[in-house]
Amino acid sequence: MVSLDARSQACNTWNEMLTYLRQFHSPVVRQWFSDLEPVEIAGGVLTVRCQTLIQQQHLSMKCRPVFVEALQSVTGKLLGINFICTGSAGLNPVMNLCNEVPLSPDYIFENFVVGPANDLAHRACQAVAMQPGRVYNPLFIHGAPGLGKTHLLQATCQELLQRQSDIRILYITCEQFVNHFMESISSGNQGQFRAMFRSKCDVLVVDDIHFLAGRDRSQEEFFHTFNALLPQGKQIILSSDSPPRDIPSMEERLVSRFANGLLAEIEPPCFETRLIIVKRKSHLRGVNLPDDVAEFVAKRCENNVREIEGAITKLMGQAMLNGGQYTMALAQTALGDLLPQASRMVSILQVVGHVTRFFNVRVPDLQGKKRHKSITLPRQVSMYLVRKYTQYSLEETGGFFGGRDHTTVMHSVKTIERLRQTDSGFARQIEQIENGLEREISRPAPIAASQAMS
Amino acid sequence: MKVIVHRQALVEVLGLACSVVLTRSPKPVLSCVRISTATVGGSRVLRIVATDLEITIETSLSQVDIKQDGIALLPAHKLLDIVNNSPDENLALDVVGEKATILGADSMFTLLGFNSEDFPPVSGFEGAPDCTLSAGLLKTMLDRTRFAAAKEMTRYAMNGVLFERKGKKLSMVATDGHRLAQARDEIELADERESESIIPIKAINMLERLLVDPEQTVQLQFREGKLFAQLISKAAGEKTPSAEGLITASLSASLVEGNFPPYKDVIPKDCDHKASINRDKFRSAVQRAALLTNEESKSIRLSFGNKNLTITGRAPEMGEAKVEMPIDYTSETMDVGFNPIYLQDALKVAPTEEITFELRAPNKPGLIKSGQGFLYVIMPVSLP
Repeated sequence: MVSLDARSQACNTWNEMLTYLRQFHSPVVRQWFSDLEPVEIAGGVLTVRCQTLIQQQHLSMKCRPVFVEALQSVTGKLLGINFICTGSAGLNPVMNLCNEVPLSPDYIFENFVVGPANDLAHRACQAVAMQPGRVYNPLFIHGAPGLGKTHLLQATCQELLQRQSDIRILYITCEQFVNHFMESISSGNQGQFRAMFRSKCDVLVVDDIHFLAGRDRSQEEFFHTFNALLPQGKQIILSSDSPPRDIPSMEERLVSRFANGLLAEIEPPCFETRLIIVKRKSHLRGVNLPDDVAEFVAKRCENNVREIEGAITKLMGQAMLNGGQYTMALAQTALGDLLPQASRMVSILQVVGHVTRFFNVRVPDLQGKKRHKSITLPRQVSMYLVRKYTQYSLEETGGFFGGRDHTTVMHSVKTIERLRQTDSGFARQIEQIENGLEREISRPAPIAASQAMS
Repeated sequence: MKVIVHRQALVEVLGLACSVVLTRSPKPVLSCVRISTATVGGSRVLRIVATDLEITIETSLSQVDIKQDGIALLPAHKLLDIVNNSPDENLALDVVGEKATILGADSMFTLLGFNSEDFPPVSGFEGAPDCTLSAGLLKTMLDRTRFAAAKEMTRYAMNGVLFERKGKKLSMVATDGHRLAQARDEIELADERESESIIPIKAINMLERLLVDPEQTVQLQFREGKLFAQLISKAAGEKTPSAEGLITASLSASLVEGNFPPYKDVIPKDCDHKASINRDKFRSAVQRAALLTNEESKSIRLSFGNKNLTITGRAPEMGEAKVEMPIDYTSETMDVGFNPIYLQDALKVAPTEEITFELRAPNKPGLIKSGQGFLYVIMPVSLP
């Protein structure tokens, strides 16, 4: 039994550690750290009790070094740290079956931001978590990378475990499925492989199933696994970056089986959803961003949530250097370089549309051979902005403007950059065009496209 | 039993036995040593066993002339007192029943013992050893680590030395929460097994006392929560000691139960400030600077500068000490405080003349490396 004294000592140390971590290692800090319970410091080890096995795995595998550092700095002693878990939700033997993909404690339903783009997928996963094997079987979630497929899959797993701690879940990436299968062939131990997938699990969750593309034998094996599980009422959840029919060289019988249950698509989130995501994610890391900064981040990162996460990490890093204040200026310096990457969706036409409207010239003039100043300047500005806002190469850009050489494009970019620095009136003009362009980018895509056409 | 024994040799083995045996025990037999005659490796010896139920040691004495076989159970400390104070070169020990007579040139002591059947049973080696290494290597490795083990009795898992073996790789680790010492080496005779045990510090100290001859071989076995060790001398005409050699001593001890602290987490991996320092000059500098330190907060300041190390000690009411020495260091300047005793402990056992001292920040642990075999982590103290 741990004495009261030892416990309060451990508590004090723990609180000091959390303060230290927030100050120096804010990227690892999570809100649920406050749920962790320090037990005692004995035998050179601080023992910390976690609520779930998932938290324990996450802390042991990912956060141990920074915790040790914090512990040593706070106590001035050479101590180690141990994370234990005695909760009922923790002891699930099959979870350990595929230790390669530990579930992340961040990926739970409460942390998932629901918007019109992912509502269906979210509801479907919740329904499956309530009644595995009864509704939507198989559940097939597809969407572009970084939109939350893995989050939903893991949240479903964790919800299932919460509801029924003895449920046997096999959560695996498709790559691991293929690797295990290859291994079983080379070691001649296919019986064990089949037992693991066909009779030792209640729920099979496979992430990134499109990895099966072009792997005939793995596809066949998966087909049989699929057929063995479904009649037993075992739940199957799959995720992919495209709908079944669009996965290249996937066998027809698999495609039809995947489509047999529910197909739920996750689309890129709209601005409002992104804003909530930004706030939620930063809150999870223990930071409260001011509204204008959050909006700025949401505006800048429009394609996927991973970008948002990266942006928040950057912001936190920058803020740490500048005394912990989150201001607009800070956000602009921290995320300035995100712009060209994030604006992948901007087309040349959009850019040229803005420039032609501003300078009142025609697109064919920009593409033609005229070399009057009234044409060359807008042409150079267009090239400069195309380079800045799109991913087109020098050659592609030159090609669009009447088959010009890539050196011409380089020259234009340099000229405009120089002019922007020397001529403040000109710089204002460019800024005006850029502002217009940015406003348009932050609006939903379809409207933007139609405007560019007009 | 009737034997004539070399007095000085008997003093030595009884001395060892007495450091195990309890002075006062509710069971009187536990304050006794068992003395018996035996034949080991073809020669006649006197065998002496002592135990406190945690640790048992068994030593053989070959400087003896056995007239009549027998067995005796005698109070250890009293027997040692008698033998130690005698002026004679040889003593005659005569045991009849439970009563022993010790005869010198001008003296006769009669000492009442106990029934030898009452002595607790002693278990020993069974089957093949888990690993075999030279006594010299074992002693070196123990010396490099045991000083760092925790002294207070509360930190059970740290009141010992972690003995870790993976195939041929042997590692010993000890820590007390302020510093950590690790010794590593390779042993020749080993299978591919892995084992991890914590040997209590009392057993380590006892074992260390048995390792007097570095040429001897030590066999170790870990079984049923216990350590069994036996020392083997070379048999006559043999190059290396073999199983047929003479077992001169053996020890068994209960291992510490519990988990050793996760020491690998504690060893810093990303130290970017590295200094290369001469061990002896460093040790002398630390020792001199420590002469003027405060009793309560024993700390000296190490100021690492370009190619130069300044060590300062300060005792508020006495004065200040400053020692400078050239070192190989080119990173940015840094001031770190350390307990000089902890530094000296490591420098005493560091095997190579040049050591590296690796640091990251004044509040992060420092790392001393000496050759391949020795590693020492030390926690800094905050500077005033």
